Amino acid sequence: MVAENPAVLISQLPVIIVDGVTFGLQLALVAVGITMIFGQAHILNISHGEFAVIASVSAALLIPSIGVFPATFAGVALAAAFGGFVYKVVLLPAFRSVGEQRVLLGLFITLGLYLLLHGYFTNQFPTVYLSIRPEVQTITIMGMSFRFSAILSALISLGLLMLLAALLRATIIGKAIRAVSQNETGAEITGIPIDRMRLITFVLGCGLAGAAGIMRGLAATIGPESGIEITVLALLISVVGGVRSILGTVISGVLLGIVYMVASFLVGTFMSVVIMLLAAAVVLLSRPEGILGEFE
Amino acid sequence: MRPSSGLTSDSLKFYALLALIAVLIVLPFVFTGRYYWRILTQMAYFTVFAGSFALLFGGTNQLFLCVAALAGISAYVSGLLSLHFGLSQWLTIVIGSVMSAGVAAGLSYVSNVRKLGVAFVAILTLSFQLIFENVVTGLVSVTGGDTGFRPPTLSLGPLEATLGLELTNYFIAVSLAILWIVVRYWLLERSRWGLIMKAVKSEELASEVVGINVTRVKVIVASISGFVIGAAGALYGYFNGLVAPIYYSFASIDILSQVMAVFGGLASVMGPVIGSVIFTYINENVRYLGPISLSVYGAVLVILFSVFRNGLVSVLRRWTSLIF
Repeated sequence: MVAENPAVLISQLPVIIVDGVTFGLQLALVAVGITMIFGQAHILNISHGEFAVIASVSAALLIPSIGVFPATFAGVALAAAFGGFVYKVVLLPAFRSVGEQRVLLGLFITLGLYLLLHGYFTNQFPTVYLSIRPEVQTITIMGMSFRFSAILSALISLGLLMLLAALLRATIIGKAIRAVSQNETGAEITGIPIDRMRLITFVLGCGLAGAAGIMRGLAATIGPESGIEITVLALLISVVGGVRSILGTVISGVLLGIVYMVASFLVGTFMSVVIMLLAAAVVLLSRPEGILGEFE
Repeated sequence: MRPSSGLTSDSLKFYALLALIAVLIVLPFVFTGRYYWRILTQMAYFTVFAGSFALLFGGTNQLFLCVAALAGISAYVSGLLSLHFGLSQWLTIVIGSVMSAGVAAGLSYVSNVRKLGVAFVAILTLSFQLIFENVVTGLVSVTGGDTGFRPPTLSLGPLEATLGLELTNYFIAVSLAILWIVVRYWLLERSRWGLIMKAVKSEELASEVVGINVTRVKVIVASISGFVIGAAGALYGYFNGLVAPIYYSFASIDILSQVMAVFGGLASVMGPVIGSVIFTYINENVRYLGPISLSVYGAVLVILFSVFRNGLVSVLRRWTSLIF
């Protein structure tokens, strides 16, 4: 949808902003996983968006036989389980090395994994798109009518992000995870099982990416080829938000999501990706440590 | 340098390189026919892409994930200028390559000034690749969108009359490939640039301290590589007879050249070339698999990086040092 009339933009603005926030929160769900995994294991997961595809494609395949709720939960569980497998098996060589070498190995191994998954899904399930449509279609707030599914998706995403924040802040596991990302040696000395914390982070992060895939299917449509775009946008969001800060990630997700949707309304989808990437570049070049992040 | 039975490893390297160049020249007379010539031409372009990736990453630690975009910029600029303004293709290829060089230099400069680590250079260049793909797909009125456009055919003059179109195409591609091999050999083995790059790659801070301007080295290497990638990209467009996003996507250029470069060995001159030869052969043999071949490459990349990290050439070098 490309509109030239500014009046149309202004009247549509609340709806567009809601769409932007929804999209931004979904990307933040993916980005938070990338942020956490990078903080814990120093692995920049290029294949992270594919976990959203794993969840959404398997949910779409399962929905006809077992219904919407079990299918979506099964999809998320599958993504999480596969995350555990990737940590334990695929990334093993990366964990044998340290420092910069590990970052590089992790980068290339996950790049290869992305290709593998992308090739598999686009080839095996080229037409399996997830698109969940609740029976209530629109709701009216203050005279404006919004798409119910978009609002629902935004609320669930926000809920999940808050749940994650609470988990990291208040539980022992959360504290241990934060300890590992702040100081690996220190955490090891105090007796925290680093390997198990990393595994938990991987499973959690990949599960969140899976949930983001389902949320995308609820608010719009997600197909087998969507992985890389989700990954790149989420990577940007996590870098813009500061690679270690979860609140920063959420803020930058929402901001860039709004930029994306407004731009997409004004100039069309292709150029909106460009504008969003440029916006991210501007933030990065003016504040290389990200919105709230600390610079290593 | 370890002299052993009269052959130093340096002169061994030199003769191996000469042999490789000779093989590249002889190949189209061994594998004759249009089908082989097309594949060989493609291979020659990929030796350039893989070699550039290897020089950028293996030489100066700059992980550029936008080789396809750099090639594409030059291809689009050259093709469109020739198509709409009737300029000579050879002139527009130079203009396009200069633009690719400028973009590569810009990306490298920004990464250095901002002190982005390797992983973040990768993100920066990967997003640049995505920007490129979206812009050329989105600007339908200029670029022809998904279907691309047909650049005017390259005028090859008397060469084409004697050799025929396919062979001429091959020799254009292979002369660029050989030129790039020679330049990289000179850079890495015969000039002080080899030492400078080794220093920069292993310890940036220490290199600064001994008086190497790290930013300048990286930007210069990036612009040289950008120029060559641009030249290869533009010629590749004329060779294909079509300039479209699919030819300059991450999946079609970057992945293959990365696999080739990593398999051959990033730090060597010959590695990426050998990798290209081997993977062109593999590529033709997994073609029947269709899109799933992407998965095969993914698996190969995972295995390569897990097992073969230093590339084939280092393995070969170990073997030859046992023989000689």
